[in-house]
Amino acid sequence: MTDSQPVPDAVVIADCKCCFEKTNLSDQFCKSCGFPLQGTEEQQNSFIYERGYKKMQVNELTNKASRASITFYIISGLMFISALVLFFINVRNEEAVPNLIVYSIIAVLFLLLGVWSNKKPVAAIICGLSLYVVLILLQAAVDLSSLASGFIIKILIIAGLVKALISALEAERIKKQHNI
Amino acid sequence: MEIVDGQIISDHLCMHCNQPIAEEARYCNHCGVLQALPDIDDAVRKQQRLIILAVFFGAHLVICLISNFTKLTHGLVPLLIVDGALSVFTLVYVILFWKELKHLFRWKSFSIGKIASYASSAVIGAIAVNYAVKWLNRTIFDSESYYYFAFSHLKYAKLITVITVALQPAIFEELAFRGVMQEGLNKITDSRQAIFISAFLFTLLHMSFISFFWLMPFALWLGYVRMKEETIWYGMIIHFCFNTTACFLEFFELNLF
Repeated sequence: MTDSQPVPDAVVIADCKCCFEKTNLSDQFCKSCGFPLQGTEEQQNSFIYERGYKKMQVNELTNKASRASITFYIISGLMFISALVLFFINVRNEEAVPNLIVYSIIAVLFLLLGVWSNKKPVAAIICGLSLYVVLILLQAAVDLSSLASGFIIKILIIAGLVKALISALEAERIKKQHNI
Repeated sequence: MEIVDGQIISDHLCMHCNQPIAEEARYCNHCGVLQALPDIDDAVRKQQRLIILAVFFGAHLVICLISNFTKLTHGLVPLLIVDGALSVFTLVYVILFWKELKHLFRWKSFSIGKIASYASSAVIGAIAVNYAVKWLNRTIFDSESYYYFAFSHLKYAKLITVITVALQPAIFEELAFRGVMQEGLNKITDSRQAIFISAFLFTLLHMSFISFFWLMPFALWLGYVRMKEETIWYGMIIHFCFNTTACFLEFFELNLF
């Protein structure tokens, strides 16, 4: 923070050609996206090309992050199927119905996280990954041998979600920095 | 920023050319240089912070799993060890990230009226949740549980119940989740997502299926209050009033008065 200083010509005259934000007469660059308003045609074209490249980068990262939603759909489907199988195997057991309700709600939760991860990938992936790890650890706390079953698949799912999270974070950062 | 005689009067200067720029400007309108976004970490810092938060959550998770599945919470000394471990671990993080967290301990928005309104909302919420959860537990799981029974054999059982169920969680869970976790997540993503994630992790850590339906909205409320009021104190008061009400409702049901 320093003493206030005047900026001349604060009159809004046009929209930025690149991001369509309002700009001032004296502006050399757009304060929203950095577009060289007074630059040569070559400079302006080069800026638009670079911005297009950033958009492509964001799309690529978003696509990588969106794999998390497919993973959540698969977990949800598998959980629902195993809930039904367990219910029919233990149908006479008094815990059959509560177990079916619990597993079904967790399956729905993963389904919702899958849908949400298309809109807010960072939050959805962190929540889904934590839920998945907690479920594995809870199962292991009851029966330690359960850790070994499907170990490679579990590791692949966790690694996939971590990679998707890193992509989502990077996409969010580029979008925020470049106002895309 | 203000406009006087067609000129912008700005307190903000470009970090590169030192020219005055608009407060909300991402780029300098004179030199075109991207201004630092102090609220967002770069990619490497984000990943480091994620690892730090994952270790924080992981350690809480392991301690909770050990205490839940080895029945370590049965008895005062084991419970004190578990609660003590969680509290010390949280305090270590608070000390390590003190520079980032110290603003949460200021209380600029202090108001008796706000305290009274948050506290009464917490009490009303606790009463509603208590009866709803009891009904759900009886209907679905055909069981009921009371915190008090873990300490009923001890002298000053009621006081110990209030301290371990209401006071300790109100201080250290708020420090851990609305402090360390939410503040850390604020640096990784936007504040709304940070509230949601910290609330979800807080709910997960309680490892109670039925509690999920009230803990999640409760944690979202605490996260929102902490963001809106920019202090951790209101959250601690709400949490304490909520849990204390739950304890007193138990004492009332068990005819302990």
